[in-house]
Amino acid sequence: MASNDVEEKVRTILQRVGKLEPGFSAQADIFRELGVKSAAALDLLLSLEEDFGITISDDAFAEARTTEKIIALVNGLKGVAA
Amino acid sequence: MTEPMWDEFALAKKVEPDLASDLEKNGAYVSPDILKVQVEGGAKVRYSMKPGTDRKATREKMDRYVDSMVSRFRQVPKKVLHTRVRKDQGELGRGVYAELKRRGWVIEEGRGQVALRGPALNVLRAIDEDSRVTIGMGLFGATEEVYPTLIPAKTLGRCGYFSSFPQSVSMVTHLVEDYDRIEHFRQANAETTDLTVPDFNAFTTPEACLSPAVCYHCYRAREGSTLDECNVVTCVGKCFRYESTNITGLDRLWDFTMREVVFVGTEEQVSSRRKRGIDLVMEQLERFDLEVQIETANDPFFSAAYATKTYYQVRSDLKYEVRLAVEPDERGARSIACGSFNLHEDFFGKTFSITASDGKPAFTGCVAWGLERWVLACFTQHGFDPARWPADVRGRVFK
Repeated sequence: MASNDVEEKVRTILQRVGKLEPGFSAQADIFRELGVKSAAALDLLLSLEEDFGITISDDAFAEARTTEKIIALVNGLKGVAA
Repeated sequence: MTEPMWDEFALAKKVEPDLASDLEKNGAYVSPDILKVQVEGGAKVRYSMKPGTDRKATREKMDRYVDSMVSRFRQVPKKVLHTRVRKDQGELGRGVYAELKRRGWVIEEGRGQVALRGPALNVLRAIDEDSRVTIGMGLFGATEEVYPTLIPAKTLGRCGYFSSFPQSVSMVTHLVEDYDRIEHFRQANAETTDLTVPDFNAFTTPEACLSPAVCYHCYRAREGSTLDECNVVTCVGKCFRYESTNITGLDRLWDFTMREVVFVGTEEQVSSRRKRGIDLVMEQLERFDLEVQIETANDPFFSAAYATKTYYQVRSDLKYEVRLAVEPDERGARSIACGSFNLHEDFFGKTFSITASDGKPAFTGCVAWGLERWVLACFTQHGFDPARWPADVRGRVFK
């Protein structure tokens, strides 16, 4: 999967789980700045794991609070160059 | 047939002790016919029911409940911040609650409702004064505020309480202003001392609830304000959480007393004060010579909210509990949560439009003491012989 595909898929998951409108900032904190509810964190984690077929550690997920960081995390776990 | 009925089933996946404990606790709310829920070895749910219970319907309800709690749950390893061992060499007391009642220091007034007097009241006051004066006003420079026992249902709703903890809300209603309905009620109760409700439609939708925590008032009182500096407030109040069949002695009351020190400010102001609060309570535990573990924890979220909210709360270190050792039960060593250190991020700041001095929605946090539980822990750990109590505390308890 190419890096662009990962980005598109992460954005789609965030829109679905976090109820975000398209075009949101990749640098914004998804919880504090974009308003994703904290209760959606687990759904987001499980969706990322299921859709990408990866296992994400809780510590790594806790650090990835922006779209950009989530994409980097998924890419890192899938071995995709950014 | 007077013996309880039992049923059991295997869990789809093995659960850790924390989840098992919450499954047992929240299991009380699955059905009024359920007497006790046990999770055995993390792999099997076993529960007892009143004689004559519809076994199939209860099982179906239990399946839905367990699935909502377990299927999406993701275990986050617990973090232990501090442990402390007592200097007091005496054994942990057994039958402490019964002994407090025998001495007349605790009187049961109703289910989960107690009166305290004598040394039991003195312990409560000693802990409260230490928390209010030494920690709150002295070391944090907190100001005191006093709040009502009632809280508007609208305020609790905005705090998300009904969607997170519906099982424990105590709602306050009254008879509708209607002569015929009030008279009907009066007549139904004229010849009896047991409350008789002839018509539930005569009750209004509750406009108010009994406060489940003190700090909600503090945030609501700052609605729409912009803070020049971090607000540190200390407050005490009666709090109410309906605990169903889990109500036990001083461990788990329906009506209890909570002291809080509340912080409202910027993220840095609040998180640094919560951290300081943990150190100060450790010093307090030294003064009272109590055996404790301070560890990450989660609130008792209900049903589908459990997995999602617990995950975020524990993963983000939003809650630590002060777990004091009490008498062991049939499963071995036991502790109860006697206090907590909480961060709510900017949830209340956004909910009540409170702006911190950095121009952003305020962050909030609090340190809380469940005072009756401290009383139980103190008597369990130091017994009834004044000589075992720390010298500084002894004189305030055994006057």
